[in-house]
Amino acid sequence: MGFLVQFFLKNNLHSKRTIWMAVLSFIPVGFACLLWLLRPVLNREGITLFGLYPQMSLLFYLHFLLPLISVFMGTAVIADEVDERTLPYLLVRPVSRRDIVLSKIIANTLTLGILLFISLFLTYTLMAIESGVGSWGKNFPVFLQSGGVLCLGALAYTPLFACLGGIIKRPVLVGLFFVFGWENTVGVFPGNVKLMTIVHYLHVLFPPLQKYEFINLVLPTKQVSDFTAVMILLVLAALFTGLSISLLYIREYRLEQS
Amino acid sequence: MPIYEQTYKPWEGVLEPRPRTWRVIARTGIQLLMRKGMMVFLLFAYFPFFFRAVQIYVIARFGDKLEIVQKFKGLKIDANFYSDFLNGQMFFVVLIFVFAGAGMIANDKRFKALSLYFSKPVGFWDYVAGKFLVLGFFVSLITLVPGLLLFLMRVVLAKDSVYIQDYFWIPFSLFAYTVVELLLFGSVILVLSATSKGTRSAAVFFFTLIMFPDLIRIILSKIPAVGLISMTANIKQMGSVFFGIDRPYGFTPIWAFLVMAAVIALCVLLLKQRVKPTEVVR
Amino acid sequence: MTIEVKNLSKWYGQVIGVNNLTFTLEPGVTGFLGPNGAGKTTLLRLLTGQLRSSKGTLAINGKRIWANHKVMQHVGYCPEADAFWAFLTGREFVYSHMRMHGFGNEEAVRLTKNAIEMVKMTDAKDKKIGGYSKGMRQRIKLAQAIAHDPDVLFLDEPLNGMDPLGRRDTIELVKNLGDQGKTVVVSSHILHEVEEMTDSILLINHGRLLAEGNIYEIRKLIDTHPLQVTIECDRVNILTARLLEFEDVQSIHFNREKGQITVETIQPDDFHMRLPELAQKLNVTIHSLWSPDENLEAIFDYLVR
Repeated sequence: MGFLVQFFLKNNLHSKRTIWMAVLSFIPVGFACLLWLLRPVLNREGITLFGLYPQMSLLFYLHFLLPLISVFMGTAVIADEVDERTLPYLLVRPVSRRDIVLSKIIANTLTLGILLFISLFLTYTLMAIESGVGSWGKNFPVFLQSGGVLCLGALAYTPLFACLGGIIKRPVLVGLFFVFGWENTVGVFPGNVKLMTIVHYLHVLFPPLQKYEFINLVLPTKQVSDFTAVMILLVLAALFTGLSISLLYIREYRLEQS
Repeated sequence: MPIYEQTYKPWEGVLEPRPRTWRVIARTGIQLLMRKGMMVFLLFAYFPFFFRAVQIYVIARFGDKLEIVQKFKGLKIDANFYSDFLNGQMFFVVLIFVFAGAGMIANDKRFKALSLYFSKPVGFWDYVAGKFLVLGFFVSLITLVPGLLLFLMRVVLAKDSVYIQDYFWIPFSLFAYTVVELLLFGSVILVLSATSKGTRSAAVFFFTLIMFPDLIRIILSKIPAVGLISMTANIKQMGSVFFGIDRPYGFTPIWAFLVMAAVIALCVLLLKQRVKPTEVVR
Repeated sequence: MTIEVKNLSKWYGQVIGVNNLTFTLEPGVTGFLGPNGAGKTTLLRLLTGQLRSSKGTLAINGKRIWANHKVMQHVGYCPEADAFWAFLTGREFVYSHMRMHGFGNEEAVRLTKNAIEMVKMTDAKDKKIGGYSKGMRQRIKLAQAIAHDPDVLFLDEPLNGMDPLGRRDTIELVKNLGDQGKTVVVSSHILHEVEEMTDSILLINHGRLLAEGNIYEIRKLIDTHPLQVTIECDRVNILTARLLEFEDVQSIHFNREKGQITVETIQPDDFHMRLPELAQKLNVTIHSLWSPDENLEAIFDYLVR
């Protein structure tokens, strides 16, 4: 399986999709560079760069990039091989279907996690360095915490969308509806409904934010502990990975004939 | 009985002087999307309509008896009601553009159908108009049509003619909002579809172009002019003009109009570059 | 290795892909023949575990195929689709397959080198597959299928896109593999290509098995259709008149200018035995004799059309 993970990682590196995802994930870095150049204008309005970091990490990364890119990376786990018609090469080898799916999920999760982590690191550095290296070092645990949550989010979302990609015909649309419709809407409902979202558990683990007037989100009060949130995310990751694997044992994929 | 030769028979009909090919493209596009299960998606998009319909019924029947209606302006069925409804539908509109629009030109390019289209008497504007109509059809189904139905329902349930006298212009506002939404989102998604290699990348970039600037607007909300970079903010700002309500954002609607016009013009220019029967590869 | 198929059916909704097929494949080369849409590719996909049967069983050496990755140890597959991980070079492509097959690095390198030499792609092995011609891509697909020396080989339209030299080399390769005792299945709709590789065929149309076995045996069994024999000779009229007396001769066409007689006979063996004696008796010189019918095309025509 080690070779398979390496192979799929290499495939991701060369894939145009990954290049575009990388460009996407570096948009906040570009924005941070722009803000760096516009420091005098921002300071006049009483805005400091590092003051914007919590919103950026929450809104850009947790609420936008992570779900968006995981929809595309997750649904592509089997869909890519079907679309490219390379699935027969994998199936007609003495490699178990479990190993094929697991390797792809690991490779896609790693790719997503690494992209987001590097992007977040660069954004953090650009925003923290304004106040000096000391500030950068002092707030580094905040970055590590948010980066860790993003990686955990990648671990939870990718198998979910891999599963979706194996079951339904238009997984991208349903995936987008889930992350930007269901998760964003239900998150603000009072009560326990929000426990039926992944983003709630990621919120629980995210570094605490001050409430800002211009964010209409009111971060939910913690209904579960950090440990419970981590365990639930890991269980969800395992559950959806298992489901994705079993799908390849049950479903057959008819490829486009040339 | 005459015996007819069983060879190729040339068609003896008369060609239309100006064939309306955009209608054929639009009709085929709509049929294809219906076959792909668009109706199921549209059903979900009608949930807000049902809630709003219930709201209208309750307000119309019991509005003058309920204190809460007098207390909270947000419950009144006025211009804000229709504007809020359309703003709320924007999420579904974006999904429609992703589902219907992302592959519209990308698939034609992928299967090398553009040269087939343009080998017939189909011009660039016929082709683009046909595609826009497909998008317009589905967008109207979840914005204009339910908006008009809500208005009609309110008018029918009104006890007198005061409501229609005060709000007779609402259908025009609904129409104008839908057209602006279609032109702006439609031209962007068609350009992305024409420039991307596949449906998925067009969908990703469209989503990014919608959401990312909006997030920047939220983060830098202290600087109102930043809102101009957000397509949704521009549409909502123009919507407030159409419905005669308070401006939601701090920038002037004229600027919103100019930005949207510039984006649409740029998209049309790019479309002209990318939608061609043949591609020269250097 | 033996491939056993019993009452195999596969349907997609209302459409039947293969319909109640039963056959056994022994070591040697077998051709799956049929027009486009006959069900050959569906059958190959069933045999390679890509599709699951709706009914019936298939097994390689008694072991089931669907979702059984261990049986793939002995299987090589060259798909029809022109599909690759385009970022790989030819060598990397075959090497990756060998590593996926479970070979260590050194062994995989060795097997890759051998396979690439067998398909004569040594010069182009380090170029990206995206830059290969169609024929080169076909060769490299073949290389990954044979590199691990499988006992069972499935080749779906292996000569697609190949130039005449490439076709010749591949046909030779397939024949050699069959001679080595491997079970090789070649699927094609191009009759003369299959004829060059093997006598043993499975003729499929509309998902059904029409005929199975040796080409000549099948031909003999088609007794409803007379065999055509063309004779080039002198004294065409005299020979024609005498041939008409035979009961087994159904029809005769003759061309005096060309000196040719084409006979349709329902008992070709008897006809061939009687002809030399008759020619000698009548003092007719036969310059040449052939049967335009005793080939796959004719069989195909009779059974399919």
